[in-house]
Amino acid sequence: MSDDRFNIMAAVAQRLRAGVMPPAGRHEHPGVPAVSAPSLSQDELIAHFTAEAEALTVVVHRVADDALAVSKVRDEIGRRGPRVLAWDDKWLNCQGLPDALRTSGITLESCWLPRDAAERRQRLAELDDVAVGLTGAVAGLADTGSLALVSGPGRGRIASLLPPLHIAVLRVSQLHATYAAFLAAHPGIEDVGSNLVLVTGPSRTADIEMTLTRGVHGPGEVHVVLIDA
Amino acid sequence: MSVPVGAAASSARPGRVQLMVTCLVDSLAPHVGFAVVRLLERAGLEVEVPPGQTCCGQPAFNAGCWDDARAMARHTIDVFSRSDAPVVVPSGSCGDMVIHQAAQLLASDPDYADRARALASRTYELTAFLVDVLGITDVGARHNGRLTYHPACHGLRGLGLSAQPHALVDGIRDAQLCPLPEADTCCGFGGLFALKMADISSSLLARKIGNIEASGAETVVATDISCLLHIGGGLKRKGSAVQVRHLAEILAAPE
Amino acid sequence: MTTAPANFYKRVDRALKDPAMRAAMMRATTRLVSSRAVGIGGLPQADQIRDHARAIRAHTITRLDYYLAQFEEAVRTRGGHVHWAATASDAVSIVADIARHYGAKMAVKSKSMVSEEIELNAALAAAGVEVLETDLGEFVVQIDGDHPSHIVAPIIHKSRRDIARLFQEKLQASDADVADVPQMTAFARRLLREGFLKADMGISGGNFGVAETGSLCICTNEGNGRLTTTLPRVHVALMGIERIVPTLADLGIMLQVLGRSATGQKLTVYSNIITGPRRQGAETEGDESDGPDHLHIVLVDNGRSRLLGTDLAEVLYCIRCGACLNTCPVYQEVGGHAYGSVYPGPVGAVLTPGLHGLAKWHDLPHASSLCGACREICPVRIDIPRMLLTLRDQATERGYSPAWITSGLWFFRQLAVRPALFRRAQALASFATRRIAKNGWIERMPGHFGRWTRTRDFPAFAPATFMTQWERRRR
Repeated sequence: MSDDRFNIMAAVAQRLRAGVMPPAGRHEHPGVPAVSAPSLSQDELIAHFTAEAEALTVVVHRVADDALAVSKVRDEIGRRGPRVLAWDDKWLNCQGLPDALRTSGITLESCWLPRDAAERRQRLAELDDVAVGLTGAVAGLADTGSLALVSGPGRGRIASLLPPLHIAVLRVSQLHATYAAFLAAHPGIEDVGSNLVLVTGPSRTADIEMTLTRGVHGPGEVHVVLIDA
Repeated sequence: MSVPVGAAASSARPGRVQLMVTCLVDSLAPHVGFAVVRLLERAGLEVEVPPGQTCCGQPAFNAGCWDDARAMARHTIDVFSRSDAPVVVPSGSCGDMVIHQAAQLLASDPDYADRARALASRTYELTAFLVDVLGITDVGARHNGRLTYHPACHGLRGLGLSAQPHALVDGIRDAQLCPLPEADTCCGFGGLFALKMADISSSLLARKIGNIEASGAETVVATDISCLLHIGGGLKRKGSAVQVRHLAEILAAPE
Repeated sequence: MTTAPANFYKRVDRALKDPAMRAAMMRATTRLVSSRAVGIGGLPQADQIRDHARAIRAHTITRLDYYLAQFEEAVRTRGGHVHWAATASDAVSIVADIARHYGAKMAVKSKSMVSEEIELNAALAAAGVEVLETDLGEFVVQIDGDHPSHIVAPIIHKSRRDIARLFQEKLQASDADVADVPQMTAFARRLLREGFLKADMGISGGNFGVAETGSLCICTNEGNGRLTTTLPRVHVALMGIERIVPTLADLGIMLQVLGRSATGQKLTVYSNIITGPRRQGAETEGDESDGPDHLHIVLVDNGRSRLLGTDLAEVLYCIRCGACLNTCPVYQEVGGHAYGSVYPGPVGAVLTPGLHGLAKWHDLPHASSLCGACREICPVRIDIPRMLLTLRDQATERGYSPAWITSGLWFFRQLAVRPALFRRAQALASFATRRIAKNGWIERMPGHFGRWTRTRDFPAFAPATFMTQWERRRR
């Protein structure tokens, strides 16, 4: 393999030095786009985020505080069954939520996947009929109605991926106007976890005759509980 | 001439222009050439027609026969460089060739590179010349009937001509303008593409004709004889009553 | 392409005679073009963003050696592996070796055009690794032994009836399973889910590699891309060497135009940015909960480096949105299979001969009327017509243009540079055409000109040319 690296890099370098790149020019990095980004008030952020998310059939439950968030989440999960695939308690970012769920008889399944192949399959089989996934988020992006989730210890990717319903707890203070604004507010986001995913609506396909179907491999339903703080 | 509409009247309004008639108009539709002359003379211009003009070389360029294309481009530059008057050409394809392609084709020719650029800088497609240089959109044209406008691709995308031909078409009195479905979709001529890939070309033609018929127009008008050759030939084969006209013909009628 | 005729013109002929396919193409491409118009129309300052996106690609390509090195270093720092494949067969060997190393017998795969390009699945099957395509369109293609006909929408050419029949014949689907599109999708989902839960290895593509962080960005809608890169213990990603952007912020610019240009979506449902494998934490934090333990990124050259420093380098800016396909009138007429290659449409007409040579692919650059719609729609403003013309020039120089065209144009040139002779030839043509014309029209022309008159009449030449009449009037 190292032979190929040498040859490929040599070819690339040689071609770039010897040839002319059309259209001719030095092609400097263009920096940051000179696009005017209006600064939005928190109300505007909330309004845009909600409008964009709802256009994608994401259900946005806006609640004033953690207590109301707790009852909203408990209701939504309770309707679907007794088990939820959840991030670890602290990462749900909602005071009292994990306890309240457990008190209601809901089992919070851990996202931990064993490394051993057979154990992993076993665990995935166990999780196969869990109806709801519950996560926090690192941000919401208003211009596209997206949730930004970062993986990490206690923050498994599968919680927002395996079950047919994904509920995310998001706080209005986590809203950003754009991905660029989010990145600027989170320098070194790549150090936080191995997986940053922008979730923009429920899973879908239009492969068959351009007919839109939701819930193909990922969740077909996404709910955001948006807490006013 | 009516009062010029639009702010584009050039302060350096020329007194003379050269006509690049194009090989297709020359051979197949000379009346279009005379229509262009009438239009320009009515606008108060003296029209020169340099002898010895033949073909700008675009068919060869498009076919990848660039040696032949260069020869024809050089000849064209020679013919039109004897006079310094601006050049008007009633074709987006030939216009694009002279204005953009020839200079690139001859970029490494020490004798012709500069001359190609110089000619390019004073060459105008007809509708661009009328609207952008002379500031004219109303030439007093009249056409009783249903018209639809087909935008030729090289003019539309190569030269960015949309506002200009539309402004001139809109200025035609008594004409009922019918919108053309999928107007911006290529008619399928594409130069030698019409022969080399005749089946695809014909398929695109059928689609364009279907759209023309759906428009309800009696006449389809365009700024390029090449498209009209292809569309007109297809309409005739189909036995259609729809006529094709070069925009210059309609703008310059009656004699 | 084992099932398609080897000859381009035969493939085109077959395509033009398939009204069902053509109707499907027209429906889908028109829909995608108007969705794209809404998507880009809704992007504030879209022109500036597109210019910026192009500038990022242009800059990166001119410094590709630097950014590839930076990317590799960053991936390694996170515990990932980078492999370098000069050719398709090298890439295949690398993936097979990785599978062998981990004892992988079954792999799930999310969409990767590069994997199609290197014909990975067949080779892995031969090496004893079963590969299951999980993107719905690619899954259908795999079951059918077919090939995708579009970069983004692989089964754009198939009707739902085709797919229902396929599921019943090959997968024992019941009538209820194929009753409608949601049912068919649910059926495929159940089947593929089993695959995801069992697979030893996940193979994906890569939309972009971010040099600064060593991140891989994978954009999907279904979620199979996430499952493929999360559940199996080994993740192998295939990516062309040109798909690099410098920073995560640059990635954001590309994402702003990719989804909107491809389908009109502001973003695909999942923009999955992967930076290394599952992380092991310090004692207090603990390991990440899930994700693959092993990440292998295979960078594939396969002819790309040869394009650098040439007139064709601009095609490497492509971000594979498929918009040029959707807007191309030729692609709309003949569909993807007619091109005979993994990359169809306008970008394919440049990329395929660019990567694999004109000897086999000299017809593709001619399968265009040069209307320019592709250049107009491209999010990074690639001048495809310019490169098609360059390829036509190269094809002629290498002797791939048919004699009737080259000698015909050579002859025409001899006349065109000798005006007096040109006029004589015009007079002759006038005489001849008016002889055979009826009411000024010719219905049958001889030789290759007969290609015109198959479907169109041709007018007789004018009795006197414009130049002749002009000279007479001026006397």
